[in-house]
Amino acid sequence: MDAGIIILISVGYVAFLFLIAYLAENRGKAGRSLVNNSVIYSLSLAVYCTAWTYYGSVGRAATSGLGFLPTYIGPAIIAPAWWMLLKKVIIISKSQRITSIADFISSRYGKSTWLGVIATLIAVFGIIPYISIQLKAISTSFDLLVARPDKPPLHSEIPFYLDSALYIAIALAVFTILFGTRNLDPNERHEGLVAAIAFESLLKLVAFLTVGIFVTFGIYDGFGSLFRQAAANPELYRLFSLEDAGINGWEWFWLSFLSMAAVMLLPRQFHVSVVENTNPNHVGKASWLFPLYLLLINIFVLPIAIAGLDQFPAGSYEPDSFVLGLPLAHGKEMLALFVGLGGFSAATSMVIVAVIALSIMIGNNLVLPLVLRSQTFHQEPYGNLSGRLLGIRRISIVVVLLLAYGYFKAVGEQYSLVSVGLISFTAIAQFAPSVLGGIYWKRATKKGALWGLLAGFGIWAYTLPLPTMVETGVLPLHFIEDGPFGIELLRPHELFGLAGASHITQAAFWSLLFNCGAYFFVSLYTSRTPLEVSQADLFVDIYKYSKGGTDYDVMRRQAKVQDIRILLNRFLGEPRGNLVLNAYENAQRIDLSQKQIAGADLVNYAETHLAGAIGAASAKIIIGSIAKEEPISLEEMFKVLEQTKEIIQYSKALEKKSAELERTTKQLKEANEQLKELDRLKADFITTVTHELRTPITSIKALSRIMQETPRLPEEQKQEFLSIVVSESERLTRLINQVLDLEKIQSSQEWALGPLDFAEVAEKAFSGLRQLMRDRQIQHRLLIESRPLDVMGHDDRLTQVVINLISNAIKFCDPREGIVTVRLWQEGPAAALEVTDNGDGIPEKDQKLIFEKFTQLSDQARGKPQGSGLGLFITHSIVRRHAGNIRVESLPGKGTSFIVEIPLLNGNVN
Amino acid sequence: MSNDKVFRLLGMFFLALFIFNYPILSLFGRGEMLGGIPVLFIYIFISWSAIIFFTAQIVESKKNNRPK
Amino acid sequence: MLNFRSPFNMTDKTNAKVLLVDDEPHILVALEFLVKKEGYQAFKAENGDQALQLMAAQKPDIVVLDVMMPGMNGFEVARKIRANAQYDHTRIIFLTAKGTQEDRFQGYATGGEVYITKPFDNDELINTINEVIEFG
Repeated sequence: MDAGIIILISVGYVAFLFLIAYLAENRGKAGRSLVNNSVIYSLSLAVYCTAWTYYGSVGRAATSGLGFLPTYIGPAIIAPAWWMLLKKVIIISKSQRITSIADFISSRYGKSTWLGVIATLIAVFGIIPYISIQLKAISTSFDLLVARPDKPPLHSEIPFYLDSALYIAIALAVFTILFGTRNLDPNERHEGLVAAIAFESLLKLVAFLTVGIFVTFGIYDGFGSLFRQAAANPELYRLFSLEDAGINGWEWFWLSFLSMAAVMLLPRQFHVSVVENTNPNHVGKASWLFPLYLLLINIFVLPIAIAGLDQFPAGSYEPDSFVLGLPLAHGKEMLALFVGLGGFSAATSMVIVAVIALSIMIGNNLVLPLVLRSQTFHQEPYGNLSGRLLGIRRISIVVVLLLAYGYFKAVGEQYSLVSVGLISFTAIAQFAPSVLGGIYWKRATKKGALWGLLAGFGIWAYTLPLPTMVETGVLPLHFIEDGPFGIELLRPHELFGLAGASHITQAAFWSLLFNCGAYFFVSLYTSRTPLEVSQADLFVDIYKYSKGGTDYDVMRRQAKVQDIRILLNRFLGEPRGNLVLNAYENAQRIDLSQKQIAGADLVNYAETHLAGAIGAASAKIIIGSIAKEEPISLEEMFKVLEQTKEIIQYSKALEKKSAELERTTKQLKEANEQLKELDRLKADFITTVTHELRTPITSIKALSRIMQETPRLPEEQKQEFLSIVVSESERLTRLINQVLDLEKIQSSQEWALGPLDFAEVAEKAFSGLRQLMRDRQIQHRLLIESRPLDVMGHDDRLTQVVINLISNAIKFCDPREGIVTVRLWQEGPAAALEVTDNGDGIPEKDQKLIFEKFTQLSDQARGKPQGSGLGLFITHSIVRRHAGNIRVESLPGKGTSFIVEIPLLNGNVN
Repeated sequence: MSNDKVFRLLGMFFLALFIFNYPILSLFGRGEMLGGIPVLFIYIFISWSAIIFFTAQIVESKKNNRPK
Repeated sequence: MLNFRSPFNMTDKTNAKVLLVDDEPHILVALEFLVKKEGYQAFKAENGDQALQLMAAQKPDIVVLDVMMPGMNGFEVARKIRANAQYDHTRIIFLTAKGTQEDRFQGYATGGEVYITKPFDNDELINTINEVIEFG
C-alpha cells in the first residue's frame, strides 16, 4: 500500500475526531451534554485498552497462552468494588477540585508540595515506557501496511530524522496540544476529548472483533476447528495450560493485582474516571459495562495468536504484529487497513489522555510550585498566568513525547509491548498504598506517604528500568549477573536472593512490600500538622462533608479581599474570577465591596477554586503569599497596576458601583419583607399550637373532673368518658411529638445529606403503609417511571415526607372506594413525586393556606380529621431544606394531588 | 444510600477474586478440551460473563428486595 | 355584669334550654353532661350551620359558643344571632382556646355576654351559666 494513502487516512481520521470533539463541546456548552451519560463514561474508561491490548496481547498469548489475561481480569475483579471505592474518590476529588492523581495524593496529605512533586515524577517516569510502546505499535503497523521488504530496519539503526516514529511522536504532540490545551478549564474537564475517546473505544473494539471473526470463522471454521488443529501441535497445545505456558499462581496473582491498581491509578485512568466524571453514579453502570467491554475485546486474542503461530513459520513475524499480519497474508488489504486504523485509535487515545493528564500534573504539581517559590514570581506579577500555565503544559507535552521517543529508540524496541507496559504498571501500583490508605486510614501521615512512595519507586527503578540500561551499554552486563560490586544479594532481577519469580513479579513484590511497610510504620511514628488532620478527615469522612462543602476551619487565615480578587482574576481570567466571587456573595448574602478583610471562609473558598486551576499545592502557596502576616507588599504592587489603568475603566466601575448599590438596596428591602413575613408566620404558629394544645386538654380536664366529683356515675358512662380521656391524651402526645419534630427540622444544622435514591425512599414509605391501606380497602398503586432518582437527601426526613403525604391521602380519599396513587418520575433536573387521592378536593382559596398557615382543613361532612395541622407544614419545611418545592393541585370533588420536586444530584457535589 | 447494594457488590469482588485466582484456576488449567475448546478458556470466559451479569443485576436492580 | 332582672326574660330554671356549639365532639360530651346535671335541656351542634338550625327550632335561652370552628366561626354565628330580633332574649357565652385581649374585645363587640377560656373549670362554667340564666 502507498504510504501517502495511509497518512492521508490517518490525518482524515484525526480530523474526524476533531469534529466529534467540536460537536460534543458545543453540545456541552448548550447544556445538552453528550458525555453526561453512563455509557459514554464506560466507553471512555476503555482508554485502558491501548496498543498493548490491541497488538501486544496477541504477542503475549503467543508465548504464554492465557497468561495475557490477568491484565484484564484484574479490572474485572475490582470493578464491582468501584461502587464504594471509585465513587468515594470521585466525590472527594469533586469537592476538593482535584485535577490529577498526583494532586490527589498531595491534597490528601496536607496539600504537600513535595508529595505532589514525587508523585508527578513517579507518574512521568513510570508512564514514559508505556507511551513508548504506543509509538512503537503505530510505527510498526505503519511499516507493515506500506509493505516494506520482510524485515524493516530497526529504528535504532536509522538516523532519527529519517525515523517515522519521531514524526509520529511530533504529530501526536501537536494533536494532543490541540486537543487538551486550547483553553484552561478550572475543573480540567474536556467534554470534546471524552466524546472522541469514547468513539475511539468503540472503533477499536469493532475493528478487533472484525479481525477476530475473520481469523476464527474466515480462515478457520470456528473456535472448535481452530483449537483442535492447534491441539495436534505440541508447541501450540502447550498454550492451553497455564503451567505449561510458564504461568504460576504467584505470577498470575501479581499481574492481576498490578492491573487492579493500574485501572484506577494510571494517570489517564484517573483522568477519565475521576476528573472527567460528570456524575458519581455513572460508576454503577461502568462497573459492569467496562468489564463487558474487556471481555469482548479479549475473546479472540488466543485464537488469533494460535492462528498466527499456525500460519507463519517460526520467526518470520513478530507475534505482536499477528493482528495485522493475518489479514495481510490473506490478501485482505482493506480489512488490514481498517484493523490498522483500530490499532491507531487504541494507541492515539492512550497517548492523548495520558499526556494531557501528565501535562496537568507537571504544570500544577511540578513547575508551578517551583515558579511560585522562586523570587521572579513575586517580582513580576503582571504576566498573564493562565496563558503561561498553558505554555507550561504545551512544553511538557512535547517533552514527555520526546522522552517516550527516546526510550523507544534506546531500549523499547528490543522488548515486547507487554513486558514494557508491565514496567509502567509496576510503577503506578506504588500509588496504591497512599491512595487506598488515604481514603480509609486517617492516621496516615505525609511523611509516611512520602517514604512509602520513595521506597517503592526506588526499588522499582532499581529492579525494572535500570537493568534495561544494560542493553544500551550504559551499564555492564555483570551488573545484572553478579550484582553491583559483586554483591549477589543485590542482583536486580533476583533481589535479596528471591529467585524463580519473573522480573515483574519480584519487582512488584519487593517494591510494594517496602512501600507499604514504610507507609505504615513511618505514619505510626510521625505526627500530623493540623492541615493534614483536617484533610485526612475530609478524605476519609467525605460523606459527612459532601454537602456544604469544606466548612473546616483549621487555618484561621485572613487576607485582603482585594488581593483575593486580583489573584482569582489572574489565575482564572477576569470573567471567571468575578463569577466565582459573585457566587460567593450570593451564597453568603454579603457584599464584598464593603469588606476589607476576608475571613478564613473566603480564603478557603478562593483556595479551593484556585486548586481547580493550578492544583492543591500551588493554590496553597499562592494563597499563603497573600494570607501571611504582611500582605502589604504585594497589595501595593497591585495598586500601582490599578493606577495605570485608564480613566474610562474608572468611570465604568463607578457606573457599575451605583447599579450595584441599587441592587443591594432592593435586596435589603426584600430581605426585610421576608423577615417580617417570617415573624408573622411564627406568631401564627404559636397561636395555632396553643390552640391545638388547649383543645385536648379541655376535654381531658372537664371529663376527669366530672368523674372525680360524681362518685356514682353509671359504669357505662364512666367507660365512655375514660376512653375519651385516653384518646385525647394520645392526641396530645402526637401533637407534642410533631412540634418536637418541627423544632428539629427547623433548628438542626447537623443535617447530613447524602446521595440516595428517591425512588427507593418512596418505595420504602409506600410499603410501610400498604397494610393500612389494605385494611381500609383503599386501592393503592405505586408507579415508578424512572429510576434511580438520585438526590442529595436525608433518608429519614424524606421518608417522613412521603409517609405524611400518603397518610394525608389515606385520610382524605373517598371513604367508600378510596384510591391512592403514588407516582415518581424525572421532571427536567428534578425528581418528582406525586401523591393523589380521590377525595373531595381542596377549595382553591384554601390551597395556598395549607402550607403556610399551619391550618388544618376539615371536612364538614365527616367532622374534624385526626391530626394537628402540622403535618403539611413539616413536609413543606423538609422539602425546602432539600432545595425542593411542593405544590398542590386539586379540583373540588375530583381529588387532590400533592407534587414534590427535589433537584437531582449532578456531577458537581459542591 | 443502600448499604445492601454495597455489601452485595463487595461480595462480587471477593467472589471474583477467588474464582479468578489460584488454586481454583489450577483445576482448569491442565490443558483438557471440551467440544474442541480448552476447558480453561471456557471456564474463564463463562465465569467472567457470570460476574458481569450478576454485577449488572445488583447495580441495575430497581427493587430493594430486602426482607422486612 | 348586669345583675338586675329583666321582667321580659324571666325563665323557669328547670326548663331552660342550652345550645352547645363546638367542633370537638369530645368537648360536647363533657358540656352536655354538665348542663344536664344542672337540670337544663341540652342541644348539641358541631358547626355554625347546625347551630343556626337549632336556634330556629329550639329558641334556646343560652348559647355556649366555641370561637375557632371550621367554616363559620363563633363570632360570625353570634353576629347572625344578634341580627335576628327573635333571639333578643338569648344570651351568648363564648368558649375559646384563644385567650388574647383582642379576642375578648371582639367577643363583647359581637354581643357575647361572657368569655370563658379553654380549658375551663367545670364549676366556673356552670356558675356562669346559672348566673346568666338567673339574671339574664
